[in-house]
Amino acid sequence: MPQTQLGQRIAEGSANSRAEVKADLDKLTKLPAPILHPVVYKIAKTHPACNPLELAALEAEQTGIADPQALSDAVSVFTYIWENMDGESPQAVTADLESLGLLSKDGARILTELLVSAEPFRETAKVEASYLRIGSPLFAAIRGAVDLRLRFHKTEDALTNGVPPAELVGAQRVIMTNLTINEPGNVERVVSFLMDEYDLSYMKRFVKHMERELELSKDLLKSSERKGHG
Amino acid sequence: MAEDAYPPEYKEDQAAVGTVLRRRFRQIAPETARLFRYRQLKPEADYTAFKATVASAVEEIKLEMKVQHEQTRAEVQTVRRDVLAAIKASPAEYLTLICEFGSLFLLFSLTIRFILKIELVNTGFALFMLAAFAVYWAMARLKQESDKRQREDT
Repeated sequence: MPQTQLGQRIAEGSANSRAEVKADLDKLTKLPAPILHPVVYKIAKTHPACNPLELAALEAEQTGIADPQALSDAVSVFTYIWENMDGESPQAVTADLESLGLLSKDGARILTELLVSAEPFRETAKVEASYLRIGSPLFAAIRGAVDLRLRFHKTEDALTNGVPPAELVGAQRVIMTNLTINEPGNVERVVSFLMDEYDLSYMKRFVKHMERELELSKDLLKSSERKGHG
Repeated sequence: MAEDAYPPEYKEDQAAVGTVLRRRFRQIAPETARLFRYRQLKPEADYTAFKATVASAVEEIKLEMKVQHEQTRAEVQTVRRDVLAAIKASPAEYLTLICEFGSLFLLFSLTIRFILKIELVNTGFALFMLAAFAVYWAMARLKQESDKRQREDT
């Protein structure tokens, strides 16, 4: 019988879901620690304001890992556990996963190590994410402006309980991004969103890939244009 | 800066400070209206559903960017095709456009040169080219006019 809420949740889930958790947890043992650890720390430092799969894809590309999907799956299962285990001890969580037959001994050791070493980042990441959600950026009307979020609370609880700000705890740089969408009938819609430095890296990667795709399709377009003129 | 100098939408709502996490949308003019979206924090119970949610978190925006990029590209190609067709149909028109664009750039360079003291283009060369562009432009216009008259006569 699982002792943690996360364990119970997984035990009550569908068989398919459990099988997927097991398959993805197995991948933790197949990935080299120097690749896995930095990704996990980046997630822990920014979760919930992060895109773990984009981060994994970027890291896989930068490290030239042979199986990027394995990293993506491992990151996905780590994020799921990280998000749902709040307040529970890493040892208890891994013990539950082991007792459910979802985690091998090696996997349990790696997962415990990851969860324990990432734990100190949790509170700061949560309060930073909450700060991002307060109001709209001061320079929202200026495209591409860098917004500086000053943080006066160490924990999310302190912020939500309205503890009076006494000292500057941290400052976070975020980039205001505007995506102008041309809709039918010449209607322009501007969607604004905030990006941190990791998001900026995903965006650069996405644009680079899109450009590469276009470069590859250039010849195809030229030949179709020639045919059209002919 | 005095507190009153800030527009009211940027000020903290004192009544609500510290009670709840607020998601305020700025009240601004419709022509500059923008939408702020935040990812909802809803822990997914099922792992398969969680994985799908995480995978789709940025897909919408990526797809939108791709569509917009393709649309802009298609528009640029259409314009390029039109310009090429126009150039082929009338070389005089092409020359006029080149002269107008060149003159505009040179005038801009000269303005920068005299106001900010930054030399983008050699001043003597810029003046010479301006005169040359004026001559070419006049010749092209003359050719266009004579072509027009010829067409009207026939």
